[in-house]
Amino acid sequence: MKAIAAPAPIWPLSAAKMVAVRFTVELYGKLADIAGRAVEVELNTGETHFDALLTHLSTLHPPLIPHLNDARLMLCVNDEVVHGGVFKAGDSLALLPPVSGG
Amino acid sequence: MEQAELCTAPLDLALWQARFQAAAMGCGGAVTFTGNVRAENARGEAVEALVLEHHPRLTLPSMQKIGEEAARRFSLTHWLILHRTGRLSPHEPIVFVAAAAPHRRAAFNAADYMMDHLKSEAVFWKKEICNSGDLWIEPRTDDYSDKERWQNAGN
Repeated sequence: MKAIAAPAPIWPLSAAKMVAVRFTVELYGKLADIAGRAVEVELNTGETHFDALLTHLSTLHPPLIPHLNDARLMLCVNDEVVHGGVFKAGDSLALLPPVSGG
Repeated sequence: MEQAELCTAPLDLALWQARFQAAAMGCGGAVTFTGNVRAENARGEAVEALVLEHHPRLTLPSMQKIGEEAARRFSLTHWLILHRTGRLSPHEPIVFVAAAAPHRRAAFNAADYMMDHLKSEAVFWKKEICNSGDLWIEPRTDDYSDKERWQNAGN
């Protein structure tokens, strides 16, 4: 995961390429304290990956940025923790900060 | 008994201990461990409460996986993991693990293994409620190193 210093600019794409897909992202732990239990994010096709999601979230909720930069942050797609970080329309997404039981 | 339970009510340790002992009757060794909410945090402040958040679909499977891996690794005949969620007061039991095996060493090691993995793999988030404010508790470096020591260890 690359570090997020500031939101990357989102350049206009041609109409043919610009297909926005809306995702609801569940947040847990301290992330939910900051931004609420769920946030809505619109990503263009071609942006449905972990890094783009983090960039959009950092734009929507700048206080999340330090926590989005945590290498231990996990993306959960359809209730499975994924490492490739790619997802598609219709997937359910969740962001899990570092876990700690016991 | 091979069981993980996510509990919203206070743990009835006497009841679960009796159930486990009954199930493990005849095993060479049974080990149990109880973790309690500390009354002071790492900064020496009084803790008013500890709030545990869990994931509705990931938390219980994460506990089950730890128990099953311990059973496989240490050839357990029985195992049990109970974990609280919700708001707990200081001194309340937060976690209970039990392991039974033909010999004591395997049971001791399995209980230790389950706790080390619950600390940094079970899907929970913990928030301390103190007079000075609320604080999310992160896994400590020691929690990760406690888990890693099993990677190269035998039983």
